[in-house]
Amino acid sequence: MLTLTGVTVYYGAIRALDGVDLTVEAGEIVAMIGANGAGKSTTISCISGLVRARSGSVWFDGEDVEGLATHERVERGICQSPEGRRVFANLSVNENLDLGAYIHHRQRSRVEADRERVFGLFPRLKERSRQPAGTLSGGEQQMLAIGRALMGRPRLLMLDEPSLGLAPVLVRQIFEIVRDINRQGVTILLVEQNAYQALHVASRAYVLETGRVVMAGPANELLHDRQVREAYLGE
Amino acid sequence: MSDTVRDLVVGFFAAALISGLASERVQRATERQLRRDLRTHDLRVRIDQAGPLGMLFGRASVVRVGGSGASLDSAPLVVRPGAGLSARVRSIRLDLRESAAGDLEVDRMQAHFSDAWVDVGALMRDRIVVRAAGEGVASIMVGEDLIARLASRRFRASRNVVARVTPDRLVVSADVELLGARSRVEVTGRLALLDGARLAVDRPSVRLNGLLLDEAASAGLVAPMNPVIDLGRDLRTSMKLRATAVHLERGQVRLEARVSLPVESCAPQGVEDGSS
Repeated sequence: MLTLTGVTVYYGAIRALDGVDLTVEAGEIVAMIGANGAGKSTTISCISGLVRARSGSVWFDGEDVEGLATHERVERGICQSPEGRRVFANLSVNENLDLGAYIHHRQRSRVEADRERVFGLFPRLKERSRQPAGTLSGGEQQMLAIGRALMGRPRLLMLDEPSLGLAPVLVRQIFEIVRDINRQGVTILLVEQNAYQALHVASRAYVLETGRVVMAGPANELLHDRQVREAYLGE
Repeated sequence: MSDTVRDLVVGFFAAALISGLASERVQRATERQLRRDLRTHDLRVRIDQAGPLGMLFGRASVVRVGGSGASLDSAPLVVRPGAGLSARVRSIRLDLRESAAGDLEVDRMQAHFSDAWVDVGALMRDRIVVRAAGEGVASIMVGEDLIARLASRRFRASRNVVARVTPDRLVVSADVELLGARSRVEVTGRLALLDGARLAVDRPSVRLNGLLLDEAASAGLVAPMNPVIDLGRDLRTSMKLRATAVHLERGQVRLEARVSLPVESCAPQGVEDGSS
């Protein structure tokens, strides 16, 4: 479904990604783990088109998407729930969800069905549907960010640090929901510093260090790898 | 010409000269005061006397205050009710360009107060003290940059906000990040006046990345933008403004408003109130 080949990204003179190769197959949950500044968020920004690759290619569903504008990639089904949530604070939960569905807004009954699906995953959002997003707790805003991305009917959902800043009980809940979303047929690329949770939920994973993929493989194998355990699981 | 007539003529011109000099003196003194109060160097005051000897009797017909870069937080003139001899001034005219109201800049504010009364004694002592002034009319020009700045304040998630005003519509466009995409929002509509104080985009059409949204989908993007201008909140000035009409012009919105000068309840201690 998604293939990155030799992707190199620079921020000015600084090389943020150095020849990254990555694939995501339909129906998978693929995790990217790594320390701060490893290049995880840059990788998904590159897939979204928010940053441009200096070299290499990004293919989605057999199409080279490098030349597409960011919103055209959303129209192809690549949606992102960004780090830090970035929900529209002065809009209500419902209004945020409506904006997520803007591409399909004319199919009103389907939009309402999507909303109900989101509320099914996140009942708290239904309770707070008329409340301004800025008044939600951090966990609720994270739910809204994921829910808004789901309203875009993604084929590939990219989640950037969904557990960042959340209480442990909420982190577990979010990862359970990530698994539920995947079971509903959505392919997921997950960027996460919480390597333990990410490797538990993912089928495959990549380990990034200073802009390079240094390890890749089935998530449960990485979970038991000595180097990974020492570097990312605190053992 | 007899000596008496010649003396009268010379005396008249001498008096007119003194009156003219007095008028100049009042202008300069008022300018100094207003430059301090309104925090600008570019401020001029012109006083047309009522007749050639008007200033000798504390009479002015038109007072004009013009300039730029002023701070409208303080009113250029304040009404100080008080006893003493007052004289009617036919007109007080203000014309201030590129002036700050709060932390925003209004392109131009013109106001005209007819039927004002000023203290005669104060005027003879080089000061303008307004004793009474009716409600005036004001015309306030708000440019595209200010509208864009207000819109970006209302909708903090937006970037690169641009406003365009044409005689038939206002278009505000901005970038928002949505679903990982840099998306362009464009809101187009006319401006409607609400309660004499707020200007709102009326029956807007909203496009997101060129796609025309229906009302349900666009409501969330329009709601935070409105009101586009709130006179009370955005244009902080001690003058009271009540908008009566709004006109879209090329590159700017022109507001017509009723305006009144603030009334000072009593003269602060140590400040001469000018009563004679």
